[in-house]
Amino acid sequence: MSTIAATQNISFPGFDNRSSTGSGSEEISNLFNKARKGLRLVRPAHQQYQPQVSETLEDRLDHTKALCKRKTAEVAMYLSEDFRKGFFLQIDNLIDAENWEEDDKPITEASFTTLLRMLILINPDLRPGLGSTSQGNIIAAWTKDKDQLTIECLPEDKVRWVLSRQFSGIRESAAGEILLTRLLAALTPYSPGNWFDNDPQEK
Amino acid sequence: MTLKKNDVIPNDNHVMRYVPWNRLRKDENDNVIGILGEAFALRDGEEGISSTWLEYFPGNQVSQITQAVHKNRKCLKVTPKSGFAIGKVEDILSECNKNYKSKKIRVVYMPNNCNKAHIEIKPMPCNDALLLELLALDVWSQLILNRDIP
Repeated sequence: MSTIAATQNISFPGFDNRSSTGSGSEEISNLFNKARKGLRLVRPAHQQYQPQVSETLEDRLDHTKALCKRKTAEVAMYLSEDFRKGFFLQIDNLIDAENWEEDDKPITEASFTTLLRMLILINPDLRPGLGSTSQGNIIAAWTKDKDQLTIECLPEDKVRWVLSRQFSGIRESAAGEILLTRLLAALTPYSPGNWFDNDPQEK
Repeated sequence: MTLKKNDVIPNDNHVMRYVPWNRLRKDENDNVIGILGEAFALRDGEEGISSTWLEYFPGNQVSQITQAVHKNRKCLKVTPKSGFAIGKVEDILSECNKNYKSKKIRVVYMPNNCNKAHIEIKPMPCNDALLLELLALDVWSQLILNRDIP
Protein backbone atom coordinates (compact mmCIF):
# COMPACT_ATOMS: atom_id res chain seq x y z
CA MET A 1 0.00 0.00 0.00
CA SER A 2 1.43 3.33 -0.96
CA THR A 3 0.10 5.58 1.70
CA ILE A 4 1.67 8.89 0.82
CA ALA A 5 -1.41 9.56 -1.33
CA ALA A 6 -3.55 9.30 1.77
CA THR A 7 -2.03 12.50 3.04
CA GLN A 8 -2.15 14.55 -0.13
CA ASN A 9 -4.74 16.81 1.39
CA ILE A 10 -2.03 17.79 3.89
CA SER A 11 0.06 20.54 2.42
CA PHE A 12 3.31 20.76 4.35
CA PRO A 13 5.19 23.10 2.02
CA GLY A 14 2.47 25.74 1.81
CA PHE A 15 1.85 25.60 5.52
CA ASP A 16 3.41 28.31 7.64
CA ASN A 17 5.52 25.79 9.45
CA ARG A 18 8.26 28.19 10.50
CA SER A 19 6.03 29.43 13.27
CA SER A 20 6.87 27.19 16.16
CA THR A 21 5.07 28.61 19.11
CA GLY A 22 1.43 28.91 20.12
CA SER A 23 -1.20 27.69 17.73
CA GLY A 24 1.33 27.24 14.88
CA SER A 25 3.16 24.67 16.93
CA GLU A 26 -0.06 22.83 17.68
CA GLU A 27 -0.97 22.82 14.01
CA ILE A 28 2.38 21.31 13.11
CA SER A 29 1.90 18.63 15.73
CA ASN A 30 -1.59 17.88 14.47
CA LEU A 31 -0.39 17.70 10.89
CA PHE A 32 2.38 15.39 11.80
CA ASN A 33 0.16 13.16 13.85
CA LYS A 34 -2.19 12.89 10.87
CA ALA A 35 0.73 12.22 8.56
CA ARG A 36 2.17 9.62 10.88
CA LYS A 37 -1.09 7.69 10.77
CA GLY A 38 -1.32 8.02 7.00
CA LEU A 39 2.25 7.56 5.92
CA ARG A 40 3.82 4.19 6.07
CA LEU A 41 7.37 5.17 5.33
CA VAL A 42 9.17 2.30 7.02
CA ARG A 43 8.25 -1.16 5.87
CA PRO A 44 7.44 -3.88 8.39
CA ALA A 45 10.46 -5.91 9.50
CA HIS A 46 9.59 -8.94 7.37
CA GLN A 47 9.58 -6.78 4.23
CA GLN A 48 12.83 -4.99 4.98
CA TYR A 49 16.00 -5.67 3.10
CA GLN A 50 18.13 -8.38 4.67
CA PRO A 51 21.71 -8.38 3.37
CA GLN A 52 23.06 -11.76 2.31
CA VAL A 53 26.30 -12.96 3.82
CA SER A 54 27.87 -13.20 0.37
CA GLU A 55 27.05 -9.60 -0.56
CA THR A 56 29.92 -7.20 -0.95
CA LEU A 57 30.00 -3.77 0.63
CA GLU A 58 29.42 -2.31 -2.81
CA ASP A 59 26.26 -4.42 -3.26
CA ARG A 60 24.90 -3.28 0.08
CA LEU A 61 25.67 0.36 -0.62
CA ASP A 62 24.07 0.13 -4.07
CA HIS A 63 20.96 -1.23 -2.43
CA THR A 64 20.99 1.55 0.18
CA LYS A 65 21.43 4.21 -2.47
CA ALA A 66 18.51 2.86 -4.50
CA LEU A 67 16.36 2.68 -1.39
CA CYS A 68 17.13 6.30 -0.43
CA LYS A 69 16.26 7.50 -3.92
CA ARG A 70 13.04 5.49 -3.98
CA LYS A 71 11.98 6.90 -0.61
CA THR A 72 12.75 10.40 -1.85
CA ALA A 73 10.73 9.81 -5.01
CA GLU A 74 7.77 8.79 -2.84
CA VAL A 75 7.65 12.30 -1.37
CA ALA A 76 8.73 14.08 -4.56
CA MET A 77 5.64 16.30 -4.53
CA TYR A 78 6.90 18.01 -1.39
CA LEU A 79 10.35 18.85 -2.76
CA SER A 80 11.18 21.22 -5.62
CA GLU A 81 12.82 19.79 -8.73
CA ASP A 82 16.07 21.66 -8.07
CA PHE A 83 16.11 20.45 -4.50
CA ARG A 84 15.58 16.84 -5.59
CA LYS A 85 18.25 16.96 -8.26
CA GLY A 86 20.88 18.29 -5.90
CA PHE A 87 19.77 15.93 -3.14
CA PHE A 88 20.17 12.88 -5.42
CA LEU A 89 23.70 13.99 -6.28
CA GLN A 90 24.48 14.31 -2.59
CA ILE A 91 23.15 10.79 -1.96
CA ASP A 92 25.35 9.46 -4.78
CA ASN A 93 28.39 11.17 -3.31
CA LEU A 94 27.71 10.15 0.27
CA ILE A 95 26.90 6.49 -0.35
CA ASP A 96 29.95 5.82 -2.46
CA ALA A 97 31.79 2.52 -2.02
CA GLU A 98 35.17 4.05 -2.81
CA ASN A 99 34.84 6.52 0.06
CA TRP A 100 32.74 4.51 2.50
CA GLU A 101 34.23 3.27 5.79
CA GLU A 102 34.14 -0.51 5.78
CA ASP A 103 33.19 -0.67 9.48
CA ASP A 104 30.26 1.72 9.10
CA LYS A 105 26.73 0.41 8.76
CA PRO A 106 24.97 1.54 5.58
CA ILE A 107 22.40 4.27 6.17
CA THR A 108 19.27 2.74 7.62
CA GLU A 109 15.82 3.13 6.13
CA ALA A 110 14.48 4.31 9.48
CA SER A 111 17.01 7.13 9.76
CA PHE A 112 16.57 8.20 6.14
CA THR A 113 12.80 8.28 6.63
CA THR A 114 13.24 10.67 9.55
CA LEU A 115 15.46 12.87 7.36
CA LEU A 116 12.80 13.08 4.64
CA ARG A 117 10.08 13.88 7.13
CA MET A 118 12.30 16.55 8.67
CA LEU A 119 12.94 18.16 5.27
CA ILE A 120 9.20 18.19 4.55
CA LEU A 121 8.51 19.75 7.94
CA ILE A 122 11.23 22.41 7.72
CA ASN A 123 10.82 23.02 3.98
CA PRO A 124 14.25 24.69 3.71
CA ASP A 125 15.37 26.68 0.68
CA LEU A 126 18.89 25.39 1.23
CA ARG A 127 19.76 21.72 1.28
CA PRO A 128 21.83 20.48 4.22
CA GLY A 129 25.27 18.99 3.76
CA LEU A 130 25.05 15.24 4.39
CA GLY A 131 27.09 12.91 6.57
CA SER A 132 26.52 9.71 8.51
CA THR A 133 27.40 7.94 11.74
CA SER A 134 29.01 4.54 12.17
CA GLN A 135 25.57 3.23 13.23
CA GLY A 136 23.96 4.15 9.91
CA ASN A 137 22.21 7.34 10.98
CA ILE A 138 22.22 10.13 8.43
CA ILE A 139 23.40 13.60 9.47
CA ALA A 140 22.07 16.87 8.04
CA ALA A 141 24.31 19.89 8.54
CA TRP A 142 23.59 23.52 7.71
CA THR A 143 26.44 26.03 7.94
CA LYS A 144 26.32 29.81 7.56
CA ASP A 145 29.64 31.50 8.25
CA LYS A 146 30.46 30.58 11.87
CA ASP A 147 26.93 29.41 12.62
CA GLN A 148 26.45 25.66 12.48
CA LEU A 149 23.43 23.43 12.88
CA THR A 150 23.90 19.66 12.86
CA ILE A 151 21.04 17.18 13.10
CA GLU A 152 21.44 13.41 13.41
CA CYS A 153 18.30 11.63 12.22
CA LEU A 154 17.35 8.76 14.49
CA PRO A 155 14.66 6.16 13.84
CA GLU A 156 11.01 6.87 14.65
CA ASP A 157 10.99 10.62 14.10
CA LYS A 158 13.63 11.39 16.71
CA VAL A 159 16.47 13.81 16.10
CA ARG A 160 19.65 14.69 17.96
CA TRP A 161 20.62 18.29 17.26
CA VAL A 162 23.54 20.48 18.17
CA LEU A 163 24.16 24.08 17.17
CA SER A 164 26.58 26.90 17.54
CA ARG A 165 25.36 30.44 16.81
CA GLN A 166 26.95 33.89 17.12
CA PHE A 167 24.92 36.72 18.64
CA SER A 168 26.71 40.10 18.82
CA GLY A 169 30.02 38.31 18.57
CA ILE A 170 29.25 35.98 21.46
CA ARG A 171 28.81 32.32 20.71
CA GLU A 172 25.92 30.30 22.07
CA SER A 173 25.91 26.51 21.84
CA ALA A 174 23.07 24.14 22.53
CA ALA A 175 22.12 20.52 21.98
CA GLY A 176 19.16 18.23 22.49
CA GLU A 177 17.41 15.03 21.53
CA ILE A 178 13.73 15.39 20.74
CA LEU A 179 10.84 14.32 18.57
CA LEU A 180 10.77 15.87 15.12
CA THR A 181 7.51 17.65 15.88
CA ARG A 182 9.33 19.68 18.57
CA LEU A 183 12.36 20.53 16.45
CA LEU A 184 11.30 23.93 15.14
CA ALA A 185 10.15 25.01 18.57
CA ALA A 186 13.53 24.05 20.01
CA LEU A 187 15.41 25.92 17.28
CA THR A 188 13.30 29.08 17.26
CA PRO A 189 15.42 31.01 19.83
CA TYR A 190 18.36 30.62 17.44
CA SER A 191 16.59 32.03 14.34
CA PRO A 192 16.81 28.88 12.23
CA GLY A 193 15.88 30.80 9.07
CA ASN A 194 19.50 31.90 9.11
CA TRP A 195 20.39 28.36 8.03
CA PHE A 196 17.33 27.36 6.05
CA ASP A 197 16.43 30.41 3.97
CA ASN A 198 18.07 31.81 0.88
CA ASP A 199 17.48 35.32 2.14
CA PRO A 200 16.56 35.23 5.83
CA GLN A 201 15.95 39.01 5.95
CA GLU A 202 13.05 38.79 3.51
CA LYS A 203 11.02 36.32 5.56
CA MET B 1 61.80 13.26 21.84
CA THR B 2 61.57 9.65 23.02
CA LEU B 3 58.52 8.47 24.90
CA LYS B 4 57.56 5.10 26.35
CA LYS B 5 54.18 3.46 25.87
CA ASN B 6 51.53 5.13 28.09
CA ASP B 7 53.60 8.29 28.56
CA VAL B 8 51.60 11.46 28.07
CA ILE B 9 52.20 13.58 25.00
CA PRO B 10 53.50 17.08 25.85
CA ASN B 11 50.87 19.84 25.89
CA ASP B 12 52.46 21.90 23.15
CA ASN B 13 52.57 18.96 20.69
CA HIS B 14 49.98 18.18 18.02
CA VAL B 15 47.99 15.14 16.99
CA MET B 16 46.31 14.28 13.71
CA ARG B 17 43.13 12.25 13.28
CA TYR B 18 41.85 10.55 10.16
CA VAL B 19 38.39 11.85 9.18
CA PRO B 20 36.36 9.74 6.75
CA TRP B 21 34.41 11.42 3.95
CA ASN B 22 31.06 10.94 5.68
CA ARG B 23 32.31 12.73 8.84
CA LEU B 24 33.44 15.81 6.92
CA ARG B 25 31.21 18.87 7.08
CA LYS B 26 30.00 19.84 3.62
CA ASP B 27 27.81 22.49 2.06
CA GLU B 28 24.83 21.59 -0.12
CA ASN B 29 27.12 21.11 -3.13
CA ASP B 30 29.44 18.76 -1.30
CA ASN B 31 32.27 21.26 -0.91
CA VAL B 32 34.17 20.38 2.25
CA ILE B 33 33.91 23.21 4.79
CA GLY B 34 34.92 21.56 8.06
CA ILE B 35 34.56 18.54 10.29
CA LEU B 36 31.46 17.02 11.88
CA GLY B 37 31.54 16.38 15.61
CA GLU B 38 30.78 12.76 14.77
CA ALA B 39 34.40 12.44 13.61
CA PHE B 40 35.35 12.25 17.30
CA ALA B 41 32.60 9.90 18.45
CA LEU B 42 33.54 6.61 20.03
CA ARG B 43 32.58 3.41 18.30
CA ASP B 44 31.10 0.55 20.33
CA GLY B 45 33.74 -0.88 22.63
CA GLU B 46 36.18 2.02 22.26
CA GLU B 47 37.46 3.91 25.31
CA GLY B 48 39.43 6.53 23.50
CA ILE B 49 40.04 8.03 20.10
CA SER B 50 43.04 7.14 17.99
CA SER B 51 45.32 9.69 16.35
CA THR B 52 48.87 10.17 15.14
CA TRP B 53 51.46 12.20 17.04
CA LEU B 54 52.94 14.77 14.65
CA GLU B 55 56.10 15.66 16.58
CA TYR B 56 57.16 12.00 16.44
CA PHE B 57 58.28 12.76 12.90
CA PRO B 58 61.35 14.90 12.11
CA GLY B 59 61.31 18.19 10.21
CA ASN B 60 59.02 21.19 10.10
CA GLN B 61 55.24 20.95 10.48
CA VAL B 62 54.56 20.56 6.76
CA SER B 63 57.01 17.67 6.62
CA GLN B 64 55.55 16.14 9.80
CA ILE B 65 52.01 16.31 8.39
CA THR B 66 53.12 14.70 5.14
CA GLN B 67 54.90 11.87 6.95
CA ALA B 68 51.92 11.34 9.26
CA VAL B 69 49.53 11.15 6.29
CA HIS B 70 51.80 8.63 4.58
CA LYS B 71 51.87 6.56 7.77
CA ASN B 72 48.07 6.63 7.96
CA ARG B 73 47.80 5.55 4.33
CA LYS B 74 50.00 2.60 5.14
CA CYS B 75 48.17 1.54 8.30
CA LEU B 76 44.53 2.48 7.59
CA LYS B 77 42.20 2.38 4.63
CA VAL B 78 42.45 6.06 3.72
CA THR B 79 39.84 6.91 1.10
CA PRO B 80 40.36 9.50 -1.68
CA LYS B 81 37.89 12.12 -0.38
CA SER B 82 38.80 11.80 3.30
CA GLY B 83 40.71 14.31 5.42
CA PHE B 84 42.82 14.72 8.52
CA ALA B 85 42.09 16.96 11.49
CA ILE B 86 44.94 18.44 13.50
CA GLY B 87 44.67 19.61 17.09
CA LYS B 88 47.01 20.80 19.82
CA VAL B 89 47.20 18.53 22.88
CA GLU B 90 46.70 21.42 25.31
CA ASP B 91 43.53 22.56 23.52
CA ILE B 92 42.10 19.04 23.42
CA LEU B 93 42.64 18.55 27.14
CA SER B 94 41.28 21.99 27.95
CA GLU B 95 38.03 21.46 26.03
CA CYS B 96 37.51 17.88 27.25
CA ASN B 97 38.25 18.71 30.89
CA LYS B 98 36.21 21.92 30.92
CA ASN B 99 32.98 20.11 31.59
CA TYR B 100 34.25 16.72 32.66
CA LYS B 101 36.62 17.58 35.49
CA SER B 102 35.92 14.34 37.31
CA LYS B 103 37.48 12.34 34.49
CA LYS B 104 41.21 12.43 33.93
CA ILE B 105 41.41 12.69 30.20
CA ARG B 106 44.93 12.12 28.89
CA VAL B 107 46.68 11.99 25.56
CA VAL B 108 48.94 8.95 25.78
CA TYR B 109 51.54 7.39 23.54
CA MET B 110 50.32 3.99 22.29
CA PRO B 111 52.59 2.81 19.48
CA ASN B 112 51.42 -0.23 17.53
CA ASN B 113 53.13 -2.52 15.06
CA CYS B 114 52.26 -0.42 12.07
CA ASN B 115 52.15 3.12 13.46
CA LYS B 116 54.91 3.99 15.92
CA ALA B 117 53.41 7.48 16.24
CA HIS B 118 50.00 6.23 17.37
CA ILE B 119 48.38 7.92 20.37
CA GLU B 120 45.06 7.61 22.19
CA ILE B 121 42.94 10.22 23.89
CA LYS B 122 41.16 8.53 26.78
CA PRO B 123 38.91 8.05 28.54
CA MET B 124 36.71 10.14 26.28
CA PRO B 125 33.31 11.15 27.64
CA CYS B 126 30.67 9.02 25.99
CA ASN B 127 29.65 10.77 22.78
CA ASP B 128 28.39 14.04 24.24
CA ALA B 129 27.08 15.80 21.10
CA LEU B 130 27.93 19.30 22.31
CA LEU B 131 31.47 18.39 23.31
CA LEU B 132 32.06 16.63 19.99
CA GLU B 133 30.80 19.66 18.09
CA LEU B 134 33.07 22.02 20.02
CA LEU B 135 36.03 19.71 19.49
CA ALA B 136 35.37 19.84 15.75
CA LEU B 137 34.78 23.58 15.69
CA ASP B 138 37.49 24.91 17.99
CA VAL B 139 40.06 22.27 18.78
CA TRP B 140 40.67 20.02 15.79
CA SER B 141 40.06 22.94 13.53
CA GLN B 142 42.96 22.53 11.10
CA LEU B 143 41.78 20.33 8.26
CA ILE B 144 44.00 18.74 5.63
CA LEU B 145 42.39 16.92 2.72
CA ASN B 146 43.96 13.64 1.69
CA ARG B 147 43.98 14.70 -1.95
CA ASP B 148 46.19 17.71 -1.09
CA ILE B 149 49.05 15.56 0.20
CA PRO B 150 51.20 13.97 -2.53
